[in-house]
Amino acid sequence: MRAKVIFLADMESFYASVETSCNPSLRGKPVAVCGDPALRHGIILAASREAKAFGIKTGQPAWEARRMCPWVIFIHPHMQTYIDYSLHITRIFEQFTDRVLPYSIDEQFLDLTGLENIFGPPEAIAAAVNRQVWEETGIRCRIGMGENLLQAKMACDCFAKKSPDAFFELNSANYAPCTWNLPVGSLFGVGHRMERNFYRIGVRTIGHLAGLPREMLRRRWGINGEVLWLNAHGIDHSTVQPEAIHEQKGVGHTATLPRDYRKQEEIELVLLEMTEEVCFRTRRQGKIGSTVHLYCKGSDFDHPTGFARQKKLPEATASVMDIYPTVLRVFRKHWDRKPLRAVGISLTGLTVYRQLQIRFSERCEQEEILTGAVDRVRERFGKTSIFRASSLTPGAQFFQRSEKIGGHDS
Amino acid sequence: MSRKFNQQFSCSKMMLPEHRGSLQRHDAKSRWDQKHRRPVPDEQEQEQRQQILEQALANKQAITITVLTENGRQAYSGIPLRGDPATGTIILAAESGRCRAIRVADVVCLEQADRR
Repeated sequence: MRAKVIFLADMESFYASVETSCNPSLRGKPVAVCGDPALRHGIILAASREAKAFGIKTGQPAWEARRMCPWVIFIHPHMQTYIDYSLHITRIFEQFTDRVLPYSIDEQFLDLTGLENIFGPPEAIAAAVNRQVWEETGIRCRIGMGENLLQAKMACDCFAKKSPDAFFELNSANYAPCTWNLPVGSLFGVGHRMERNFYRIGVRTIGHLAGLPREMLRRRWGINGEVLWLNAHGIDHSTVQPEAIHEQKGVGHTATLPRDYRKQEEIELVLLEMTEEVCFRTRRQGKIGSTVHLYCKGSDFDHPTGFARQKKLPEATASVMDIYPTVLRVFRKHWDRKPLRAVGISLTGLTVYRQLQIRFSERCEQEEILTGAVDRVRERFGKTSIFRASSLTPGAQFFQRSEKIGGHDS
Repeated sequence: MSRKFNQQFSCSKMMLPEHRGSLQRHDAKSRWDQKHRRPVPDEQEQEQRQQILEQALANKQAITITVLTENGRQAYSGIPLRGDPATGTIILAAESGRCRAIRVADVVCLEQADRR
């Protein structure tokens, strides 16, 4: 059987590149896209190649970046523009193959298996893709190629991003010699916590991990351990399924608060607003959820506090008044009264809503009618056309959040 | 088998709801376009259609024209009265006497009525 040809295309400094493309006078200058420091979003979301040359990195506080390069140009994010550019790039990829899987706003998988007869060898396809993306958007793209999605991702992250021609190929033959000397933290799926766990048992490189018995990893870390063992060997059974874009495990919202929230009533108000937003989005998809997750992060960086808990609901629902009491119970049980910096709510275990639920009380039926009416008003006249009076009280986040995408200006 | 074994990238996908929404709309539109895509006739087919139309116009013969509409394919039968190159339409008179202007651009099939 012929090996698959999978590409992972990653856009270089995506947000900063889009800003430069929209405003060519920024070309060749150190540009950093960062949120509003006044709202505690002042971290670098993306830095141009010129800014990176000064040591500026994604995730760094803006003040630190300013110290490294005093003439760096800070730009506020324009999230809707980034989404539009990302979709434009998806359309470019679709001219080469119908099997395109967006993985994030700036990374997309392409399955080009069997297309060599039309477009030539993979290196030529990568060059053509790169050229077209550059000509149409002004954005450079780096391409990792592999026989599966994992190899393509590793080829891109570990090699193509550092390669002058922005292309690298990993395959079953060169995967071990190329990757086994890399630190275990560079393996896809190994986060900081897992890296620490591996360090504790003497695993420093991907090769060390590959040398451990698969059974041992499964016993110790379950499915996750076994998947990481497979990743260390370059084995992955994932496929590029464009229809996966319609699959969704859950609906969630996380928000960094504009200041530390200390009062219980203020936090509970934000939780109500977020529950409402999550329920609205769930209903819009015609779904209901069976498990609610609550995440609260303390404000003290030096002594991290907070919690993440989940609770199964008595029955699957997307009604605020069914879910919010559970959110409150979980919050009141686990909150240690310390100030909070960020909160998040999500609803998982989604199923399609069919009117199977038997409602015995008239109140429930009336509530459903009211919720439906509110949803229709919001669909037609916008999110802020109808809201709870409590959203006008101090601490409420409804209006600030409604104008944003991913917590940043749209 | 756990989904993580088969689709670890779907499990770890990071996507803003607004981005997901725009991709879903794009996918729905692509599917719609695919379903309603007009076949592009080759030269031979075009010549054949032209010939049938000219013959029907000269001899007042009935023809059947199939067009692609929002609701799918729709066939109309009748005698062509004239072709209007300026507006790119064919005027077709049905048996009932009712006339209908058909845009040539929407035509996916044109044949003699007795062949159907």
